[in-house]
Amino acid sequence: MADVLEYKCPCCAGAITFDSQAQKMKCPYCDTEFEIESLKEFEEERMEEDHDPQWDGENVWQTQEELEDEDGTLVSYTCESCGGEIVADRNMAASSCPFCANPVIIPRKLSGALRPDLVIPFKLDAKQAKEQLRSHLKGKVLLPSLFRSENRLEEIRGVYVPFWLYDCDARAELRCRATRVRCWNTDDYSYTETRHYLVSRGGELGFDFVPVDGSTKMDDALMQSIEPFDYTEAVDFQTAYLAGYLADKYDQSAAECAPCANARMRQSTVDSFMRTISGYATCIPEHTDIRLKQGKITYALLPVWVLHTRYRGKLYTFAMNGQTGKFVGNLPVDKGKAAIAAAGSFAAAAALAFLVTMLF
Amino acid sequence: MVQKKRTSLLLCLICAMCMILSFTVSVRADAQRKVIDEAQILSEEQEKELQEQLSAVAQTYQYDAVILTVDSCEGKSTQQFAEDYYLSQGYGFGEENDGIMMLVSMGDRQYYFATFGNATDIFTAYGLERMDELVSEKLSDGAYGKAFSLFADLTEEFVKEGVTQEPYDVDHTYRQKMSLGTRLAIAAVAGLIVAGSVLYVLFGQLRSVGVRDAAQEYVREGSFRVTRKRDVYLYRTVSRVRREKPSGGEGGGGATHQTSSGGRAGGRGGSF
Repeated sequence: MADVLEYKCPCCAGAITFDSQAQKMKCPYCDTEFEIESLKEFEEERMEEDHDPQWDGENVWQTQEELEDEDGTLVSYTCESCGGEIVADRNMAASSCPFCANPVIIPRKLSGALRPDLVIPFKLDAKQAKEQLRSHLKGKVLLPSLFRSENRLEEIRGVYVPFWLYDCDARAELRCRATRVRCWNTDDYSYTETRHYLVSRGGELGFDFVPVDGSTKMDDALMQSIEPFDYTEAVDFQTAYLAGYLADKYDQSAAECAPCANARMRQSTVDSFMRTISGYATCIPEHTDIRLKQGKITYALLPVWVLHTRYRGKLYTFAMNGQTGKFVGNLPVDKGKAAIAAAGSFAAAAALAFLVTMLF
Repeated sequence: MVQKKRTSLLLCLICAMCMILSFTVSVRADAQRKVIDEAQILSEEQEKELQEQLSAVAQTYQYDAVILTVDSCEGKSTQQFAEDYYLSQGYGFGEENDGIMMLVSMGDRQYYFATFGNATDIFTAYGLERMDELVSEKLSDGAYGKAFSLFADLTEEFVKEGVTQEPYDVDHTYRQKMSLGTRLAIAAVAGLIVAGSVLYVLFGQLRSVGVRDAAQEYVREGSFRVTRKRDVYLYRTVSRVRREKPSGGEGGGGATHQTSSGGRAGGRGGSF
């Protein structure tokens, strides 16, 4: 008696019944032939289920202790306009909100601030930030000419921005459909042979200190753009580091910020494993199972210079990595210059292309 | 009486002179006319344009190019009719009446390209085939004006190529010039692509803030381990497409025959 096993056709998903008499696997619907081993492996792979990465909950590395105002030098300010809350030492006269440049900020007694685990001290000063702003404006063809001379630096502040740093181990299982294509010609026909493969990869990958800013006032994209920070220079937190700078208080918990870190780690895990697949014409992920095993979460203050300039009544915000000097900030476009550049390049290219067509 | 006789004699003389003069003028005028539209399918303007173009070809290259439209070939074959007409009207340059004639007979919807003398070398079998292919398409569409102006253009190009370089043949194929519309379209597309890229780069200079979707720089060193690596071959599919056989392998050149006046003549024709 022939033993009958039912498989799903990898090509058309129809049911294939193994006929042990014929000793061959052939899909009755699409006529594709298979090796029995291939089908078994395909079936095994298919059985695995998806897992979504999950963080067990907030679990900050060190003991969650409050930031204590040991010698009464710290003061908290709240912005009336955007609600931003910042911490500064008493000698630092905060005159305007570093997030929205609103001048109305109210000092309050410091309370409920979490003591950071780590801090990267400022390495660059305000003068260097201004210089970086100047060089940031250089070489930008479409920047309005008047922006360089007319823009007014309203505010320049060194801010310690609260970041959650996530450590994580990822276990990945990837399954892809890949193809290799071979072409050849005979006298009468051109043949294209496509060989289909099931490619799977499994393994591990670890991440350290993936940062997500814990302040809603700080634009996430702006903060991601000044990455990376060099954590080897991070030191244990001391209130003394705040002297002369402002410190933002986190208002998003580590659990709230985790999805952002997860998404980035997930993507990098997929990328890393996809890079180990080579030699195929196409490779399409069919199933990716990334399990993130949560490690420690570190609360850190990272140094950022925030600059506000005003040009024709509009506020432009720039940020500089206070450690590496990486400077970012979107700039306005001179529409007239853009139109000239577009028309000029269009005309030049079109004329050249027209001349080239004359050769034919 | 004497006076009267004299006057009539003078009149007769003048008349005779006039007749002789008008006869010679008419023969020359006929040989100068490159477009003879007896079937009345061209507008005067088209006729004038073609006349100018073909006269210029004749003057520059010493090859006649003639367009003749008739209602019927009077029982003759298009080839016979075209050759007889061309030779009887004194077209062509040199001993062998070098030139080409395009005949369109509207009654039986036939056309014929007749070549004479050295033009049989310039319009090879290949050349005539290309000409036939391109012009007959226009004739079938009923676009006679376009067909004749294409004939005039092709004749000019073929003659120029044949005189200055070598005639178009199987080993020196003719490629149709791109139309102005195609050229402009290519230029416009190239312009748009370049202008788009230039703007992309220039706008990119002003934008330095963006969201990061990966965390590659935070991968712990040495933590990447691939523990499972399996590449399973599943199945294969094969598709095939019939190959277009390249037509060709003909010897080139072209067959010619002798005309009644002893020169070489060749040609090709068909119906539309």
